[in-house]
Amino acid sequence: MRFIMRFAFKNIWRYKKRTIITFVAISIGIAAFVFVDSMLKGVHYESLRNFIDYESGHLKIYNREFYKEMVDEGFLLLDEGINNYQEVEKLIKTDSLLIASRITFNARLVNEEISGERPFTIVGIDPEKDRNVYRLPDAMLSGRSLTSGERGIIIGRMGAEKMEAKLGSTLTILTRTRNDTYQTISLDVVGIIDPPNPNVSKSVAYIPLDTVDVDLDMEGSVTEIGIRIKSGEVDKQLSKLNDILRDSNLSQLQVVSWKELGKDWITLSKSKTTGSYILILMVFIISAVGVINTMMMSVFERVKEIGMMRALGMRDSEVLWDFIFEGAAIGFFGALLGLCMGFILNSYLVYHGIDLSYLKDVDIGYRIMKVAKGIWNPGAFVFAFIFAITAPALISIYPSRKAIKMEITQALRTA
Amino acid sequence: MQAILSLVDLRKDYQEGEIVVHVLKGINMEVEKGEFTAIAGPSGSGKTTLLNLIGCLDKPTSGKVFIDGVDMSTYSKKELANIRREKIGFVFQSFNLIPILTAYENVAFPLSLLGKSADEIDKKVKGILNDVGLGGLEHRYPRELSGGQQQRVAVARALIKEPSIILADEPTANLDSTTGGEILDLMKKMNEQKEATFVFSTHDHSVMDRAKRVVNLRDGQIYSDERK
Repeated sequence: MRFIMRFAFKNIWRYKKRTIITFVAISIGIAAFVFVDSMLKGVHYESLRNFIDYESGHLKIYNREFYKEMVDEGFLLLDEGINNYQEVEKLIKTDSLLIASRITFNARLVNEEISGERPFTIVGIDPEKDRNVYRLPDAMLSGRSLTSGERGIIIGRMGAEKMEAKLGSTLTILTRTRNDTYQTISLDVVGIIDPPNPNVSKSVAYIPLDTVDVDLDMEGSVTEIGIRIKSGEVDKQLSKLNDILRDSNLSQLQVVSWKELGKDWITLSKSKTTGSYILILMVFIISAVGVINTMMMSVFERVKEIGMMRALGMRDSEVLWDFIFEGAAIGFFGALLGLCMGFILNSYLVYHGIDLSYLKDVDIGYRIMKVAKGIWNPGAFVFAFIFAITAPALISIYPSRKAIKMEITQALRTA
Repeated sequence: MQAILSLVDLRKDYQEGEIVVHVLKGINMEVEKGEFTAIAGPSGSGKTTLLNLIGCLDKPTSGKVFIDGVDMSTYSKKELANIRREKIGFVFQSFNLIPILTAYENVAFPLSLLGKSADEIDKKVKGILNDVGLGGLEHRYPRELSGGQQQRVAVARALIKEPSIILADEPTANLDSTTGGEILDLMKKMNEQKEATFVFSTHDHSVMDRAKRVVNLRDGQIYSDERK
């Protein structure tokens, strides 16, 4: 078998140009796969991080009615909030959890200086506690953070641009109170944030929790309690918190994980990822066609030679193995080159990323902005390497089987 | 002396459309060790078909081929490959060397198939290349050799494993008469020095003159069988 392997190795250099072209085709396929896989996974994980950091936290506690209405109808019913939220916070408090309560409601935002109004999600936050769970301060573009009790508002950059709002601009919130009466709240823009989460940047604004409490007659209630887990697994904490709530006769409350809160867009993101993998599959198919072409030509150009080798006593299985090794060797060198190229491209992607700022405010369906970065995924490298070797090896079986099925005398007669 | 090769009522038919062509019509002959036999005859007389059957490259329609007393008709495809590997050497009209291998590697090929050690291969290959007059040209590729030199490599390749019989199908047909004569002389020398048994086909009278035995085929039958 070692002789057959050595012979196969010599054979791949029989047509150097063709072999090199095939190497390059395989290596481009491999590099493209590694690169795109890295980017897709990087974008997905970044999206998850931005979702957790700016929207969901790891866990949220809702009133069951509020959550059901929010999920089913998209309504945020302020009268179905958590009335005794401070007691709940105390109840669930442990060293492994960071907690911040919020009031989230839908409103229309008006800039008196321009005509028109825009739908916004307004979030009432406790400026001190909120930063423990969410990362708003990290995204501060200009101005300052909120302070309790002030009539100030922080708005996302893209939303601010649409509202033509600047620091110091006065914005008016049009909404309904907990008792369903109309309410207008005028606030000065004290800060503009530029979070990497386009949903937040586009249509979310933040005001102090106590301001919302007073102006919307919340009477000390909140719509949600956000939780960041310092240590431990999300699912275990979720189950533990549900147990605590049930044991404390608070079964009207439910704990929801970020996975549940983001399931719609996560599903969408996964389907986009699948679509991208299909594109990569096309690249693989193009590479495979190159390999098939090389192997077919390699076999059919050597029919007479194969006949001669069989006449000299080379067994059919040895001829087959020769071509399998040739295919595998082409794949091996193509994979080495492809993985080197993939490593270089991926290093750039991981450490620098692709600048998406030229897309401006175009929604690409992921919760990322500015830069799409990749990740290191050793699994993709291993998969690509194994695939690059096995696919050409398997592809080479078909033409070589055809060649060994031919009678030796017929093979020897071919030109 | 025991026959290395025995052919018993060997027949071969080919189907061409609806017509059955009887290429060989009952060949009976024996070849003993050390014979230098030419199968002569005009084109279409069945020379190549006969060599193919002797070389286990094709199966007869009926009749038997015995090599070293063993009936080849009972052997499977894989067993026939083993017989060719161990007992039969081939020299082809168009040399049929492997272009990516050097002269040395081409000659070593049958021994590599037999799994011989590198040392044994090296010793034998260098020896036989000297014997066929190619000493010093071991590392040349076929494209770097003349037609005559390529056929010398082919003869060395056929001889290297010391087979029971060496079959050569028109070994001089692609060579000029001088070179063809040299190849025949080489084959004869190897026949005499190494007691190698040669059976070769030809329609060239100058080649037949060098043979110790000439079997004439006409229309698929032995017309004459002369020993000199």
